[in-house]
Amino acid sequence: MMLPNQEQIVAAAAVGDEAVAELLDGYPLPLVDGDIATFVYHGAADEVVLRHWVFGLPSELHLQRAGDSQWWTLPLELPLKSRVEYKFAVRKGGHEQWILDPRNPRVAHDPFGGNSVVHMTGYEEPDWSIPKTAIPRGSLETFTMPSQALDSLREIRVYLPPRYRPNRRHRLLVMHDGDDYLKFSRLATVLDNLTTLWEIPPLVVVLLNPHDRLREYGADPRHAKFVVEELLPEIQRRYPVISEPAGRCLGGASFGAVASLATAWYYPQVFDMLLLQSGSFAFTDIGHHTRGPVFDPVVKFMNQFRDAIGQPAKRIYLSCGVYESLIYENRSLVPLLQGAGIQVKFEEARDGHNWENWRDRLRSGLTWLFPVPRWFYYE
Amino acid sequence: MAARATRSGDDRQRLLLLGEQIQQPRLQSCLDRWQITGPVGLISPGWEEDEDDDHWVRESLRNPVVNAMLYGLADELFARDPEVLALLRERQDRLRELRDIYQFQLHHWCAVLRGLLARRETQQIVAQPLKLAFSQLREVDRQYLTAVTDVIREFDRRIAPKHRPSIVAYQRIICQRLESCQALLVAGGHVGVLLNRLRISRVLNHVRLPIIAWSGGAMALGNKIIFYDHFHPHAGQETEFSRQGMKFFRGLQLFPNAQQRLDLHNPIEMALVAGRVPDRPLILDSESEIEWSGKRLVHAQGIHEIGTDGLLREFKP
Repeated sequence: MMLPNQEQIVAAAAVGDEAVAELLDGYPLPLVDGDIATFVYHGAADEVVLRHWVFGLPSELHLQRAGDSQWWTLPLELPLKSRVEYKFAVRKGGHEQWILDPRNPRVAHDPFGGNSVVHMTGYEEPDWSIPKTAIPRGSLETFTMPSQALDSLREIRVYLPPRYRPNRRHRLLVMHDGDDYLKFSRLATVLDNLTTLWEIPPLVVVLLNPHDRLREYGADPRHAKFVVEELLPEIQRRYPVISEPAGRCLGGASFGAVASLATAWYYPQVFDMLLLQSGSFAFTDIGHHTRGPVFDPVVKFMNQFRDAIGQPAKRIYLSCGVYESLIYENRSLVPLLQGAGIQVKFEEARDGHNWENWRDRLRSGLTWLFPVPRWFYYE
Repeated sequence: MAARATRSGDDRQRLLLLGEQIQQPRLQSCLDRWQITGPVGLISPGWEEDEDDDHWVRESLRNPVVNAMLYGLADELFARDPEVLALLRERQDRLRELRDIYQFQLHHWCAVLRGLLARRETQQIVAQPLKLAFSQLREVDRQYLTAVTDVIREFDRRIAPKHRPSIVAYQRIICQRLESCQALLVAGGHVGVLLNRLRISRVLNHVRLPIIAWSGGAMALGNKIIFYDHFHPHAGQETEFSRQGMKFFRGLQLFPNAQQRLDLHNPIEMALVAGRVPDRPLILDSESEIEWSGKRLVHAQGIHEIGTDGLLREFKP
């Protein structure tokens, strides 16, 4: 199938709006042909800018107006298998408005709203992340508990898997930003599917939600104390979970990954496994960092950590998007962890710092950390 | 190799092998065909602690179902006679060591074979190296199976399942539970666990009834057990032989759950499977069935065979 290109859109625009509409009729937008994505916008504007979160590309990429028309286009080379989130910044009369691409139904949601998404050739939304009617669902329970360490009442959500059996001991996964993982990474669906397909054992998953995220998750020892000294005993009291470190995993993304690593470092030999996605592992070799004051405690922790890694865990799954500014920090962590004798699986994706990137890596991370029983099961 | 049933003692025994049943069970029509209207025994220890989570079997049948409870009763046996469990664990440790070395060998030979299979269409020159590599890999498989069989025989010798009072009592309870049954149903699940419990209980030796086995249950009754998963999320998990089966039939190697586990449209991967298996490799889908009467294969339906070229063909017995 030959897709319309920028030249043809410009030529059609010279004829009129209807000619462009006819040319584009039936094609999903942006137009993706191999490693070229052509972004298309229609509307009155002085300027239209592609806003994206791809570290390495210029932050402002201007769409070109087709002649005197209100059609705007931008062909952009993006590597195969990429998944890129974006918005259009429409500038008119001195005002700027960031909008979703009105002609692209594909939207990724996050705590700040949503972004339009382009899937480059070779990227596919994983089948195991899609809800299926034939797959039994796990259940969610919620309880509250006081925390002395955090000086507040905490709401804890717990996912119980499809094959949950109260008389059997289950492995435990504790996830930071739990509700965001449920909403934006479809964590419950992923767990339902992988459990039912025998790709992971039935897990009890504890979902944490912060009150003051950047402070609590920024390597705060009080958060670590809450997780290890208060939360774990409460979970063991309430649920049939394996009480040995070998059965426990702690995980999160971005600052949630920092919170996971810091907790495991402050309290070694509590969690044998860590799931760290796009960790905000900023550090300095010399001088001061430039990431802003919320990173001060993170950099301080990471510098200490890098000096004396110890044995925070035995197996660490680490992933990061290559379009993230954090890719350097994550890559440079791998040899350090391996040098400390920790088993590491590191995966990169052509994606950014977002919840669908983290969703897409869950199968690989969970099946590596919780070895696959499916091998032996034939139903 | 010609397909044949091998179970000694009862040439009239009927055996029906089916693919996965849980989604759309056909067990009732199979029992009807055999005119079995009375109670049937269910062997489901492959599902371990969930062995009695058998509601879907009961709901799909008019016949009363008696769960033999091989797994649960074995737990009681282990509690009464901890030495059996200790010996079983010792055996499992030994098997794990053997498997580690086996997998190391598999990675090597499978990589060689993939390289050669990728070139075989265009170069006659790879025919001989391919033959050699397959024979080496088959030898690796054979030696591993021999070593595993030795470990299992040694375990059997030490626990003496025919004479040890605790095990004999376990076997007796199971036989009593199945006393009124007219047929046995053998479910899948964890095939290793299923085999272990079948061996210790000797239920299929003691209770001579027509058998309907599906998926992992059908695998367990075969000659050799093979585990496979081309869609394993982490590369490097090669198809592997596991141990000898119950040998109710020979000449056929069954691959249930194939749609989910085998890369059926990849001739290289499928040729790698077919070239290793001494018996005829058959895809056992949910619609498939193979029926034996004594030593005679009397009926096969909806079965595809994997050719050594990696392509699927209709199975002709």
